[in-house]
Amino acid sequence: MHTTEAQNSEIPLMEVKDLTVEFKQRHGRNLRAVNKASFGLYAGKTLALVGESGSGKSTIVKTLGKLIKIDGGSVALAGKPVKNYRHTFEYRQQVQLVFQDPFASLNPVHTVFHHLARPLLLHGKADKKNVRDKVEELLEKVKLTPAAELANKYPHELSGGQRQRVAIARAIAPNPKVLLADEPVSMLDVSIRLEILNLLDELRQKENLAILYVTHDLTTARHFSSSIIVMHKGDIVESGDTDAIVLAPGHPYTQLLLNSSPKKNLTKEELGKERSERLAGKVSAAMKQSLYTNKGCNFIDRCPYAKEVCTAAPGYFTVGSDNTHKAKCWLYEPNSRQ
Amino acid sequence: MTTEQDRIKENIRPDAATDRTIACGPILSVRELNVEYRGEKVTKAVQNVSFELYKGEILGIAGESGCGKSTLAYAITNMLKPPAYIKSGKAVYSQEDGSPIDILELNEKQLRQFRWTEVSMVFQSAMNALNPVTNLKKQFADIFLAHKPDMSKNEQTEKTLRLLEMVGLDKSTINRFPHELSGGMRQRVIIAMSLCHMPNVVIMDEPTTALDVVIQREILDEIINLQKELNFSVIFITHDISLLMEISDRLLVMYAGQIVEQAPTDEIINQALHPYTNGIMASIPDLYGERKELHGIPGTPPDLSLDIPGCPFEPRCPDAFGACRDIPLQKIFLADGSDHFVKCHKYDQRV
Ligand SMILES: Nc1ncnc2c1ncn2[C@@H]1O[C@H](COP(=O)(O)OP(=O)(O)OP(=O)(O)O)[C@@H](O)[C@H]1O
Ligand SMILES: Nc1ncnc2c1ncn2[C@@H]1O[C@H](COP(=O)(O)OP(=O)(O)OP(=O)(O)O)[C@@H](O)[C@H]1O
Ligand SMILES: [Mg+2]
Ligand SMILES: [Mg+2]
Repeated sequence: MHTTEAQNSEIPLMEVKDLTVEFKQRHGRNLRAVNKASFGLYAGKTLALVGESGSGKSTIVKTLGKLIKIDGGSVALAGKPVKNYRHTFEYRQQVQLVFQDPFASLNPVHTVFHHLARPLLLHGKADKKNVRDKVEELLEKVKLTPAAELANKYPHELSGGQRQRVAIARAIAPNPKVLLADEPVSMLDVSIRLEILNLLDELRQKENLAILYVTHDLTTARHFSSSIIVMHKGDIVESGDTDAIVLAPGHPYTQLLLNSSPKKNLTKEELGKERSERLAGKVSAAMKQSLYTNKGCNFIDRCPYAKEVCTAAPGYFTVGSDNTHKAKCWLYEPNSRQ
Repeated sequence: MTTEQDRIKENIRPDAATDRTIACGPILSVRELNVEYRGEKVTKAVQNVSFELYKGEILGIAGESGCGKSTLAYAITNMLKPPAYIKSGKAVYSQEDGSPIDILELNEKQLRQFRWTEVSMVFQSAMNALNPVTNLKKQFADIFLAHKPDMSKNEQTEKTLRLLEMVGLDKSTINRFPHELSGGMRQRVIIAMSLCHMPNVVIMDEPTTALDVVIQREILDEIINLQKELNFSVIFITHDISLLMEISDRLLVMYAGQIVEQAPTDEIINQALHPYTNGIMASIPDLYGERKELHGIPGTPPDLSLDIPGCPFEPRCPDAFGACRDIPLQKIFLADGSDHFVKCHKYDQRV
């Protein structure tokens, strides 16, 4: 179910190069929410985008979903460059979004049927005569059964997990090639979370979807993606094969993220020890978020390895022997290695 | 090895908080609470729930989606809206001088006085309900002024900045509008707001769903430090039991509207009794384990409009036996005087 072969031999379905997005601020200069991000989405593969809160993950999703315009760099879909504000209808047929909040993303006055019939009719995937059948087919695809009964429900009559399934059904209605899922399971409990992710994984395989899975949860990223990119303050600080990132993280921020993740299979003693250490306040709470003020590495304030050179912006260097595994960190600059 | 270590040990004895606090008596006491939703069928969302919240403790409430956690939180702060109504029960708050307030008897005006200063609440998904047309400075000012009309502008700003810093947000955030913030940043603003008046009880319903683990931990550490310093109490509601295992002093596990297990957190870690508690603990996915298909507890929770004579978890329970289907459950205490109880026939000698 998980492919780990190197991806650079294939052509990406969606190719993002040096993507830059800035927001105007009332005070001071623009806020660069995304700084020269480059990555590719591949048919039948899931790329996980993880990272700090406020690091630009949703901004990337909104940009790729044509909800925000690009300020620099380029995006290409199936080899064709994507233009701001143009051909949005065709684009939307191929690139669909799912958002975090299953409560907010559906319209309370419309039934499930209405939510799904609309995109089907709009994108010519159904006509007036067969739309009911098509809606039920779609509901079965996302395992909302009995479909005929569920079609007539209103969002408030559904559970969070069921609502998120409707949102996914709506997204796959036009038969898209790319699915951008922004924290699709963050608000759901573990059981439902796994159900939804298993569903997305099944759709990925069956429909050969390219999925961008945005999450702040490395554990699910590990299990449901073939590669991972890590963001911190607008920068992609690390990218590579899922196992490489999780098992041999290069960037100090990724290491911090992994160290902070809940660990399973800790013995009761270990769990108890971690817990008491935390309760004793031994884990330092000091944190300063200087926002994008550094000319050099953005992680310098919190980095245990910070040194002179880090006051200059690092480039991307290969971590270890696998040249698809890169980190934006001076530690991996070939000459600086001991 | 040495005094330093002993000192730490002294400080961190996990049950220290519990001992200290139980001695002070509960600040909030919920008795036999029943909440229902009116409709074609009546949904019994909270059933016979009783518990105590002690001064200075973090009480965790865990359970799957739909088990009634938010309904309970709304009920004990008297904020339920139709079609929900309280069928029976009490929620009693102890004021600083020890005199009790029956929260469920307060009228609108008294409630307004009570909220934010005595008990504040972080609602689930509240980050989507921030006022979109005013900046944060104004939104914080409104909260301050509602209870302290003569607070100076300077003091408001100063306090706001301190709260924002506590949740890891930059000073400049104060001039921004909600739509200019990421989901996690908005969630942090809501947490900061709940602490504006440093209330005695803070109820947080899924406050960190949008946060990455690093920031989540940093904020929780800040809250714990602050809470130790000021000795306020926290009810922390989440479906993420692994989080509660780290931060809470005591834990309530809810299933189908009922509390099925209650215990000091260390006892849950060491010997969770209820098969459901063990089930949710086992379904925490493993970051480093082999990659394979992951599953939660098989099956789904029961329809809360049905009358279930026995155990609501029976159809999903790996340990179920004959009695579970139709013999009513009772609280089984681990030992006399213990704070640890479970509602499961496995531990009931009589069954
Ligand atoms: N419309 C906007 N106007 C101004 N600034 C914005 C706007 N939208 C986002 N930002 C800023 O851009 C940065 C990145 O935000 P983004 O929502 O992409 O973060 P994120 O990685 O999705 O975070 P989270 O994990 O909290 O959702 C933040 O600093 C945010 O304040
Ligand atoms: N407005 C409503 N009308 C009817 N039933 C409702 C309503 N709101 C909630 N319920 C039902 O009450 C029960 C408890 O819901 P509640 O929101 O308290 O659960 P929860 O434990 O907070 O779940 P989650 O983890 O998803 O937030 C559920 O079965 C739900 O379907
Ligand atoms: Mg986001
Ligand atoms: Mg809830």
